[in-house]
Amino acid sequence: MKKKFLRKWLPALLIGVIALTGCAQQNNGTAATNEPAANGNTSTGTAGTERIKLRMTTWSTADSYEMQKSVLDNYMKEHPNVEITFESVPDGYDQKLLAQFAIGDAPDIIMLGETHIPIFSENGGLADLTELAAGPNGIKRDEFYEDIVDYGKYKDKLYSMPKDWTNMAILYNKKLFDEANVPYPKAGWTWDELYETAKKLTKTENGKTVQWGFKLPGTDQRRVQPLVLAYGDGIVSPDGSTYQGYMNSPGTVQALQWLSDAYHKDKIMPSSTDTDSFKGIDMFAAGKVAMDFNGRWPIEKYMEDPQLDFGTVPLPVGPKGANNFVFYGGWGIYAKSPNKEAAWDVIKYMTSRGGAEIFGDFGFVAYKPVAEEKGQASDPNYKPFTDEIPNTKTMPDMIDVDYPKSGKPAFTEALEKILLSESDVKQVLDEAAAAADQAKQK
Amino acid sequence: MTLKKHPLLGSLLYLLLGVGSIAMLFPFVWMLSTSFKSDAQLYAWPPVWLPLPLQVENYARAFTKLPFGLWFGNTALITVLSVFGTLLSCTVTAYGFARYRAPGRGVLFMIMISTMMIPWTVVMIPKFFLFTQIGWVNTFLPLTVPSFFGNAFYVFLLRQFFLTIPPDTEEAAKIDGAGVFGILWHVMLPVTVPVLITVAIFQFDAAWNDFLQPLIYLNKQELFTISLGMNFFNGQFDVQWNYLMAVACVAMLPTVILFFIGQKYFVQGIALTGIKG
Amino acid sequence: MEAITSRKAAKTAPRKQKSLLKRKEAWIFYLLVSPWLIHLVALDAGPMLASLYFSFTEWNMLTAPEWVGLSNYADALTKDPLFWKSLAITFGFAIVSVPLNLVVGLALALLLNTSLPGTRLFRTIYYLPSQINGVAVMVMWVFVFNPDLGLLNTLLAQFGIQGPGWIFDPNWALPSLVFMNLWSVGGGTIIWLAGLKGIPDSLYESATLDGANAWKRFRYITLPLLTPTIFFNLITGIIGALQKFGEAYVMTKGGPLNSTRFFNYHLYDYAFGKFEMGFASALAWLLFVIILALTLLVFSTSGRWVYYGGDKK
Repeated sequence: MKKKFLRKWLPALLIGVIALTGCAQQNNGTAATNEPAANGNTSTGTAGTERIKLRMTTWSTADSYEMQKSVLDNYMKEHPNVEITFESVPDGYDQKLLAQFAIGDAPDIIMLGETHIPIFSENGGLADLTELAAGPNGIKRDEFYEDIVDYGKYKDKLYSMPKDWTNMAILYNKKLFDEANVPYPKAGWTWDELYETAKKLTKTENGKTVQWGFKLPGTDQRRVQPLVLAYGDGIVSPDGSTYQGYMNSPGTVQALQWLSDAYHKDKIMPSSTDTDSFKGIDMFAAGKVAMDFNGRWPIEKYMEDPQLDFGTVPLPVGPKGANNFVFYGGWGIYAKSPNKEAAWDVIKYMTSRGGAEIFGDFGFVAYKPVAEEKGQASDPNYKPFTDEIPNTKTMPDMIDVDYPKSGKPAFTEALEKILLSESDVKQVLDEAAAAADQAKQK
Repeated sequence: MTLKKHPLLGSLLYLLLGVGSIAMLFPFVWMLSTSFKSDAQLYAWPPVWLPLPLQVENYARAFTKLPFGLWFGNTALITVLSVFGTLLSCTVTAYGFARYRAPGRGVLFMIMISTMMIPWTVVMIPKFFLFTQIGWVNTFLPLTVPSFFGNAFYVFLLRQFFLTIPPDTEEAAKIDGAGVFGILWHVMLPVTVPVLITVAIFQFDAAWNDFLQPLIYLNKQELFTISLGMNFFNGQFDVQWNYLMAVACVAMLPTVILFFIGQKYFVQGIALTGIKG
Repeated sequence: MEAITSRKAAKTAPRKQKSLLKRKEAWIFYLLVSPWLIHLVALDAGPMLASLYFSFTEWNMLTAPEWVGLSNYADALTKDPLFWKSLAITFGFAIVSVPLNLVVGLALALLLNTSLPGTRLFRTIYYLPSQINGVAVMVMWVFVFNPDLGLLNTLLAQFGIQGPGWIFDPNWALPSLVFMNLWSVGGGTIIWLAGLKGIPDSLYESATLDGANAWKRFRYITLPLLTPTIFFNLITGIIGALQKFGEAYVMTKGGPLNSTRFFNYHLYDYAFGKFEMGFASALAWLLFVIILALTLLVFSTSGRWVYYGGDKK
């Protein structure tokens, strides 16, 4: 009985096992780089001749990935003793990164967004770069836009260097403005003026809106912040401890009333259902909205579109003045990396001339020499963004390290309620502030 | 069977299935149409259904822009191995559960079913840790070897089918001198060909389309599978829908072709007449 | 004396043989299931027990887990504002979709179980929806469900019906997902077909000869012999429905206004959105217990309604 079994299945098993071991052999070369610390990679400086292996991770795909890869390839040509494995995570970046942190084996160089920095550094996941930045292989502070570099700081320590960034501006469709005989917006305009302008640019046909004046993703708690800060002091106390009195302050209520009226009363903004159904369709490029609250990302594409005649203008101001925020992408170093100096050298290269040269064509870089060469401070399409750098405000994520479980869900839910149907804005915000504070207690 | 005698019923059936088919096919028409669009047509409103001229080069471009040939190969290897392993191990295990009594069999069966009840979110990290410890991360091993050791879902399915086979057939085989595996091979499997095909199709789909496991276990781009690779067109601010759909359409072909071909063998198991009565 | 011992011997001999046979059978059983046993010990037990351990800790995955005993469980039941809502949503979904998918799946399989020309093609067409995944689905369904311009409401408008807000309306979002699920019901058709193919034609033939009509044949032959398949689809359907995750993660993010916040998504959000893996693990184990209880319940009733032709009891 057993003999028959073996004779029949053994060949099949053998083939299977051989195939698998073959695969394992092929891929086991990289297993070595997965082991932390104790495999003999010393952390000498970049001039060392030992082979240094670094793992680097990114969430970038498509062209962005290619760009970064080409910069890394250049670096490796200049430093033949350094081998960088560039690991792309096409989706679920946070999930995979957290899993790697959890098992104590994360890549040396980690791509970070500004919302990652507080929670990762607070819990000791990232290495403190302050000394590396100030040391012999450091950076010259005046070669960078300080405000942007400071986005990589948490509690006064530097954890990340910027790859590129963008803040927000208003893009407007010149043709639609001309058709409606409305003058183009100018820097220093107010949110009330934007409201009135949008009203003039909203068109309906047979009761259905065919053109909206202004697009702002109202349920996006981040993008709503400039509006909130225009009228109030933000949704959280400056020390990050309380939401009561801030999320439901008179200023915040006024800001969200503006939003509610825009959707429900005057219908100058497409509702979330409209924006979702247009996902995959660029409403601004298609001429369905006259003004768009956006970052710099689509600008190069818009410049190539012969049908689209557009301009950019800084965000409007409110009673509390001008304010903006930054979407930041940068790199930090894993706290347990055995090759911190080598990793720092790569980061320095990527964030100054070596990388900025290439990234600067598609995004704002913090490295001044390249930024200026590429006209980021002077080109009329870019100036409205770069002029706003001094108006950058700190976002709730960076003020309250518990924001993901306290303020963020509460505020998002409040926004959803306000936009779904006309509601008592003060009441909704009172409930949200209470929920946020309660979540902080747990 | 009787439908051949009632052409009216037959036509009604076709009508019913036909209407439903439209609902089923609609998204694929959309996918196919999008795959032939130029960048400008992607964002046109109202949406374009028949993009003319058909940009056939989207397919060539999508597949050469990124190493899809390699990724198809990776996915094929993983899938074939895992289907093979699944059929091998699950039939044997299900056979045990169906035909052989032992103390603890019932409890063991319940334990097996219960392994399907724990969400991936909370076992993902311990599993990841396990595989990292034995150095299997960044290889295909975590995606293939476990299938050689059974899978609760298929064992359950196969066990249900094995239980429907009358024991008389085995008695006859035993008298003829068949051993444990002889019975499995000569009696149980031939009768359950449809469910074996089902297991093969299901596992092929699961392995071919798996995203979560390759995402967490594979780091190097050269090892990626199709499902990971497709996300490369999902840029941060700009999704390249046309290329994405082109790849998605082609990626669907193997599973669909397999399903279509598998139907040919989806016939009734060998008749058991002669054994009864 | 000798007569007694010989009679005793006559009795014990078969009993000994029986127990030897039983042991041999048990031995064979364990040999046959050994592949899966290895899987259980090596790959299932460890991670499951680890997650159980984490459920008694507070763990943000960046620092070491901190023991908190039962407080996660207590907080889940008393302090989590969305716990009960999420559970209700998940159960509500399961109660409707599991029976619906069973009935529709079987009905579809019956329609596709003919040998009429084109059946193979039809089966493949109905199978297709289960193959489409990820980003593509989301865009497509959002397009279908859009209240003003989407396919569904445009179709309904032809009949003069004002369609609802579908997945954008908190009252309609969950039903929309039930509807979406139904669309890919063809994926499980082959399991039904396999079950149907297992019923010998000879049974139908002799029944027809005896004068039974189509309904009687279905009711007294098909249905009883299909019970093992029904049982399988019921159990796996329950386990699957209670762990629903995909649509919430890809499309709705649990909204609008938490109306599609499936429990599995709820705990995922705690793990990776709020960095509370310990709490998420507690939620996972609560879900586990619920699913296990339900499954055991169904198993316990199975003796009464599931008919296996060849079961050795």
